[in-house]
Amino acid sequence: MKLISCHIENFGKFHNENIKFDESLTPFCEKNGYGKSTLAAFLKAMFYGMEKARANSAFNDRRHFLPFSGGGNYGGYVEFTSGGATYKIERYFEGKSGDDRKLYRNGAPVECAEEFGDFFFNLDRASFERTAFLTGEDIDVGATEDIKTKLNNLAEGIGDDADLEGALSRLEKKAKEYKKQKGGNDLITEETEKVNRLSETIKDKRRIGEGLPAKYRTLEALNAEIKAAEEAIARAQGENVTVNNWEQYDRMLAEAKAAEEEIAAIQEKYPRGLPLPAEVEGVNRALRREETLNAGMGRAFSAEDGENLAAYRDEFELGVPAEEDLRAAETAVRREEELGRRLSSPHAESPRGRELKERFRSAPTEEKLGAVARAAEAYRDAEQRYNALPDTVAGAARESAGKKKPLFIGLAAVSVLLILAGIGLACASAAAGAALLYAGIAAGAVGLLALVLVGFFYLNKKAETAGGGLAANPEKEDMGRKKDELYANLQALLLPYGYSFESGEKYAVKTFFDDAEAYSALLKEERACEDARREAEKELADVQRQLDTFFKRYGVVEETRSDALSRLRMDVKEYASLTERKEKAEQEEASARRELEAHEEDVARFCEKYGLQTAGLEQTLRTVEQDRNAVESAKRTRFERQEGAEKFRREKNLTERPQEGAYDLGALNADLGELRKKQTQCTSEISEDEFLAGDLPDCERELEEAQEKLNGYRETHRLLTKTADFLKAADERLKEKYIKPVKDKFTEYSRDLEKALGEKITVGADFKVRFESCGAERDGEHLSSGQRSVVALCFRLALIENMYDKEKPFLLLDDPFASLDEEHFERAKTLLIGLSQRMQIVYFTCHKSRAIE
Amino acid sequence: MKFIHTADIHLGSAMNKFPKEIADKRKAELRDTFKRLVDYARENVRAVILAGDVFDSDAPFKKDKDDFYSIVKSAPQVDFLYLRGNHDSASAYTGEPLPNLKTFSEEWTVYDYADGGETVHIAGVELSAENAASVYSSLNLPKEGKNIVVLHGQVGTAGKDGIDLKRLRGKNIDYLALGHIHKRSEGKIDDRGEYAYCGCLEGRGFDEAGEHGFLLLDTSGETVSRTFVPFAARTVVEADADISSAKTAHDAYLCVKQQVKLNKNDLYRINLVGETDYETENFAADVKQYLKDDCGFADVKDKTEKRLDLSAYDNDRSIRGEFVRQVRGSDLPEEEKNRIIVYGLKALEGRELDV
Repeated sequence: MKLISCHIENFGKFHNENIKFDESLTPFCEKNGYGKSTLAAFLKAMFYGMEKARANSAFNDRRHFLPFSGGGNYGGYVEFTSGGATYKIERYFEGKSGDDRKLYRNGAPVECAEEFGDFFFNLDRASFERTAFLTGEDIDVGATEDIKTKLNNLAEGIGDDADLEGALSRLEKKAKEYKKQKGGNDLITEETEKVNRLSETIKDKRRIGEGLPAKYRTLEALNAEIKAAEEAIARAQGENVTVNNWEQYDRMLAEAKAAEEEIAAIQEKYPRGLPLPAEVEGVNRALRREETLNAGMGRAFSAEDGENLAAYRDEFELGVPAEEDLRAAETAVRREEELGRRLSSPHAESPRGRELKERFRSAPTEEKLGAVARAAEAYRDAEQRYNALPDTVAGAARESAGKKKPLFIGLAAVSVLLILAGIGLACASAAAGAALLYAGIAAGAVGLLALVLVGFFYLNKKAETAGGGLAANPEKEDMGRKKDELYANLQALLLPYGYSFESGEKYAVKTFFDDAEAYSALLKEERACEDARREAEKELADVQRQLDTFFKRYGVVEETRSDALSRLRMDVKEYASLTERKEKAEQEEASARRELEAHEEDVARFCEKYGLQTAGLEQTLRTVEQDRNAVESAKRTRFERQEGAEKFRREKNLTERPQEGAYDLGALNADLGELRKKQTQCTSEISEDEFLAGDLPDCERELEEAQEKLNGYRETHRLLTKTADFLKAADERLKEKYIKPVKDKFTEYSRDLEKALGEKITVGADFKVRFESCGAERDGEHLSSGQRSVVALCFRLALIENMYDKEKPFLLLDDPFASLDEEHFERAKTLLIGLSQRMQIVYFTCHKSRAIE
Repeated sequence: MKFIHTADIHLGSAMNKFPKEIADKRKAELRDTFKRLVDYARENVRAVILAGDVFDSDAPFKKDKDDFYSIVKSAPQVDFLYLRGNHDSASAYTGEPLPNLKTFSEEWTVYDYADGGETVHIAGVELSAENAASVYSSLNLPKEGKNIVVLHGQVGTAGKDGIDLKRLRGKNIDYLALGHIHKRSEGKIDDRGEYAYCGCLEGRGFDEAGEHGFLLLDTSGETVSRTFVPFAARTVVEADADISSAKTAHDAYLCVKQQVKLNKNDLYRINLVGETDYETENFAADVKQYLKDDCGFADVKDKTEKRLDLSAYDNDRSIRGEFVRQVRGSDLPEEEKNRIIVYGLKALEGRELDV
């Protein structure tokens, strides 16, 4: 292949750049930053496209060489010859993955499905990258680097960080995880152990499962035995029930017999027969009665009673007082008490009596009374007349007024006198008594009142007179004066008795007459009381004498008459009672004796009849009663047992007595218990075995899975080992395929190298570079760096010769001889020009001294 | 009259086709389903026909038998016509005899049921090597009434577990109640009678997917009619889900949800199918975890085809390319080649070998 030209429309810093290439050597001497890498990337992109720009991916070429200009098509075209034809590749990139590519052959579009680079070079992009571009670092083959390694790397297409050795190491390491040479502790060994373990477990569980049918049989047999044992026990229980029934029947008969014997034993004690209950009861009653009678003897009337009776007899030696005597005495006692009370309490004066006595020191005489009556009547009469007269007459007022004046003066004088009299009486009352005080007060009050009235009337009259016109009636005035006089007179009569006219003279007069009458009655009454008192004293003395005589006869002395009388009554009563009781007691005792004798006769007859001793008869009778009860009880028992036994026999259908005794249920139950224990144990074993065998399918499945896993591990291990083998084989093949030809090719170049370097360069079997100098073979380390770079170039060329089958690509060199001296550069340049005849070389340098024209 | 036809209950089954965490639950559900069947029978039918394989093992455990007997005993008014199948052998624990548990033997046993004017004869025999050929000729059923025959085996040729339908023609059979096949199916015997497998009562693994229950027989009509009664506690479903478009485990889960109708009560075996890159990790565990709230249980298997594009290495002159070419050129099986290539490439690239 030979590049003809390229047009970079937009790629990196290039914009509408056209570059022509020489068939052999196209030199570029440009300063740094020209765009050598950009050109190299553009050519690569034309042949191999550009990777997609991913959001999170590294900064790849598509992004890296996005046109700086920002506009226009991103791409261009390249023209080249290959296989005798002229080709043009047009390629434009857009967005993240857009790739518009066209191929023209001799001007005509050509369809090409595969990548252009693959098509033309039969090599992938990575291989093309590694071989077609040569930088200074690539050129420099240091003395410490192994050409073989470098060639291997180039051939292997891997970086320095991974190589065949590393790959083999990783495979080996991985394989060892599956299987170690020794020591175990790997997956296969572990899984194998697991498989073995599971196999053993499964065998064991199968064995357990296989044993189950036999255990089932055993359990069923035990079940049958248990059932038989239970039936046997049920039968035995039935038998035992029958035996028990017969035993019970026998017991009942035995009890009946025992009762019979007991009856006989008791009856033997009574050869004359057992006394009847009624007889025994009769005798008991008789004995009790005897006891009672004996106990009662002499108790109805005691010694003490006798003494008391004697005492009463003494008391009533002169005779017992009759009831009427006692009643009379009672009456006398009451009379004595009454008289005593009356005489001992003084006559109480009533408040009314006291009041009357205070008013009236003595009874008012008839004369006095008459005066008061006349005065009262006169006043009433005057009052009536006064009231009947009119109050006023015409023209008479002034005259009447003048005429009346001396009257008023007279009345006023009387009023004053009364007042003075009142005062005087009041003063005299201190020595004379309250009555005078009242009289004094009354007189004074009357006088004062009269004065006020006089004044009132006077003034009133005067007013009338002053008024003129109608004048006061002089007749009435005279009557008035008269009335007043009479009034005063009446007052004077009553005042000494303390009667005031506050409530009116009528009331005062009436009260006076009422009081006078009452006073007279009072005096009369007092006199009567005194007479009565004297009578009572006399009577009292008589009564007392009677009572003394009465009580003395019986010798009764008490503090009071009433007590004495009560005492006497009691004594009489008691005496009568005692006498009566004594008589009765004597009668009863006689009767009791007779009865006692009768009972004793009965008891004796009883004892004679039954041959019993009278001594201790009570105890004997108790024994008889007990024996009688025992016989009755035994008879009942006998009857019940006999009847019961018969009934029991019928009920239980006891026809045939069992020959054997009761079965030993204990032993049978013990056997049953043993069987049940075995059954439980068997059931438990079955349960356990079923539990253990139950997960046999799970174990089998687990084994299957483990087996599968183990097979998988073995397979993986085998494949890993095979992989390593294949890698080694590939390596050998590769070496066979590439390295030797490269070596051979390099040997061809070594002739040119000798011319260029002046040294004869050789490559050993181990790819070690050597050279001859001064007749001796020296190690390549001794070559200068410039010489080494030239050697490396030849190696690269040799490699390219072998790697590219179809078309040899062009070679881009980026300042490969920077470190050569001038002399060696000239030689290298010559070499380069010679090499360019075989392969198109594009040569870059930034040093003019290294420029090649 | 009505009867229940059920079979292949497999009480005591380990359910080990299910993962351990679900197996124990399923065992309990199986026992409970049988109990519910008996509760149903108590109210609705005269007898329950157990056409074999009531238990899972040749020698069922005593505890499983005791459980069975206890449930049967709880419905004394219902007869249980118990035909042992190939899974219950004579060496098993027998337990107490129950009056309503009727068994069959190696000779024909007939149980008669009458109600009103209706008479039903239920005949059954336990096939064995000794009677496999002779049972057909010794079967004599009356023409009148309804005749139900109970057998356990595979329809086909006569044998210990084989039933020759041709030899049952013309035997006045109205209904042949079969057990042994766990999936429901039916067919004709002759002009008079039909046969049916009722299928098992509960799916015991993902190979027994679909609806399960029992057949309710009604003899009151002209023929013995049957109605399928779904009765299983859960339905077992196996389904494929194409996850070719999934880039992540969650994508795969969404693909499953789109393509498979999920029911919270049921058990699922989801097969992830389609094509994924060889280096794509296995999504099965993650998808299973995501599905845990969408269904009763999900077992997820990765059955995707792995792609490995090796054409890129055709022109690779490096050791990678050479290695790939070496492996591809070998006569190893494709799957091995792909695995070796993946291991080798990862090793060369210095990546972790998560094999």
